Amino acid sequence: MSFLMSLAAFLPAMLSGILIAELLWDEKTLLAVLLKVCIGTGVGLGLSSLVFFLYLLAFPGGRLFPYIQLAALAILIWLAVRQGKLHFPRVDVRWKPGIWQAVILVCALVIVALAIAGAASVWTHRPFGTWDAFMIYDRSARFVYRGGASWTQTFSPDIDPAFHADYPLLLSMDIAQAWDTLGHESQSVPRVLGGVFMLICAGVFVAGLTMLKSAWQAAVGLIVLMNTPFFILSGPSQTADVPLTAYILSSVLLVFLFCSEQKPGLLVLAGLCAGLAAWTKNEGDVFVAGILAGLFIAFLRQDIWRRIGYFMAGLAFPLVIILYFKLFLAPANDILGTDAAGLIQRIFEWDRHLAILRSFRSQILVIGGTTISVVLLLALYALVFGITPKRVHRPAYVAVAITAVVQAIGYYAIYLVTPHPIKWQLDFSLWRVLFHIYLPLLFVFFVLVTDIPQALQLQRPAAPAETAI
Amino acid sequence: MSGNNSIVILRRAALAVFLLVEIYIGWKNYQDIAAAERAAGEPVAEWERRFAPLKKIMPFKEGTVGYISDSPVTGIDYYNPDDQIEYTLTQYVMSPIVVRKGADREWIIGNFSKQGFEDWMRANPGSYEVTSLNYGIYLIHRTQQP
Repeated sequence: MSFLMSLAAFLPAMLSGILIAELLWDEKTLLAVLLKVCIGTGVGLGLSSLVFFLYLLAFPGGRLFPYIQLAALAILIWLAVRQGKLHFPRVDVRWKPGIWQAVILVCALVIVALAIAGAASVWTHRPFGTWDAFMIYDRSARFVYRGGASWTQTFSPDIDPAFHADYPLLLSMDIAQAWDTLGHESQSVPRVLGGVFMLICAGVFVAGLTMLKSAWQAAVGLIVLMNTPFFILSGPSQTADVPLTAYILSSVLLVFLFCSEQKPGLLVLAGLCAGLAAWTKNEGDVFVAGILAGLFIAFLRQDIWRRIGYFMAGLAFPLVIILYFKLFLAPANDILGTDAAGLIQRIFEWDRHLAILRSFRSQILVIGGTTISVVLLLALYALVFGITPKRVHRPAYVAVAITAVVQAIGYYAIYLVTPHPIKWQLDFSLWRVLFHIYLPLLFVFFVLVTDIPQALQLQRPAAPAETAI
Repeated sequence: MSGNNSIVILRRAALAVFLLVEIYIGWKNYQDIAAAERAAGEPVAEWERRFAPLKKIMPFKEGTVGYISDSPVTGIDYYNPDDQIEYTLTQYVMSPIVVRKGADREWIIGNFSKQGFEDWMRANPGSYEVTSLNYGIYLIHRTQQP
């Protein structure tokens, strides 16, 4: 029951986000609607967190936020009705699975069931999540909810740096506002939130691949995603890695969709999701820098300023709030807020470079924590199935490749300057931060490789002119 | 045409192997995760129970308190990571009170073994009001500044 109540506490935010996605992206197919539900749910949770932060700045200890959420939802419904956006999706399902489709579907169902059982095991045994979850996000949520008018004590200089009071507040604010709506603290709230972001991640992955390729390609992709232990462990563990990756993946997918549909709203949504990634975790800042650089280069000869402008229109609101938070509230970061002399000295310690490179190499091979190296498995898969990139997606491939490189360089630089013991920092976090890069690249991998029906000749292959890059 | 058919047969065989490998990985993942979770301890609820009496008698609901434990007491053999874990748990359960390591505050939370507390008192003479609670938890009120 408390799970349902917790979910209900997030409903106004989630519905508002879905309506915002609907208003920004006018597409009526069933798949597009499903995708808007997944992306919009994340957008709603992110925007709700940002607005709750502003509300608390204006009215410390105020308890009227649930009414503001309901009012915002009512306005969005009115806008959607007025613009004729509320409609049933156009259903065009041709369901004629052959033997191979049935085999893929059964395998996907088996693996999804195993993944759910694994996630349920984590949920059952770790109601408070892992250490990062309760010492960073739940602790901060407790300061906000219990602190009332003194909620900014969560940024007190007396807080030990181990609690990372400088971390962005998306999860903490969402948890606190749900407690506010319920009128009491419930551990079900962060547990439900972790589950919702897992579903968003999987939903965006599957619906996106189905839109860009086929349901069978999406099912094979889902099999690999659901077999990633880090995904199964991290979601129910209530840490910020899966929410961050959900926003990164949404942003990447929206760039792909923009390339094929050329609708400005898609880039606005992509910018918004990128901004929400930065409001989820500091690593989101690196993603924002990467995707901006990527889009700049990808669209260099294609109406660049207008397109960057659309992206910035979505990014602006989260970015302004993040800048305010970082400049005026957050305490110094435990990695970058140290002495400049020591930082420069660490940059020239070649042993550190070697240690980081070795760790990157070994972690990439076992990325996601899989039993069998997923990198090698996917390399073999690409070798057998071949790749068939579409020309229309070319700017998206360029943007994603540059983003991934910038992320990798950014993470490398952070390890280089960290004042903490390098081995501890690498062992503790590298496998987690690589997941932020891995999942979008896994998505792009399945966009790149030949579609299952085409590769197995389950239907007529697409015309060569359409597939050649 | 026959070359094309061979490629399709190869791909179908490869997909079948791929799916079998993935099912094996999925099963192995589930077993590993379930075994690890069964073995993992869940310390937070226990810490909430331990600190419930202290939270009831705390004279304020926000502000900063000091935190001392066996760790910095000379002669007490204590595994340091455990000390950090207990400090983390204490900050979590005491939120929104800020728990700061050290004894330089008017109010101090002590998290000691019995011997550790006695040793700390001997090493830090002064005027204190001490409330001893279960599980080696103490609320120490410094009645005179050092």
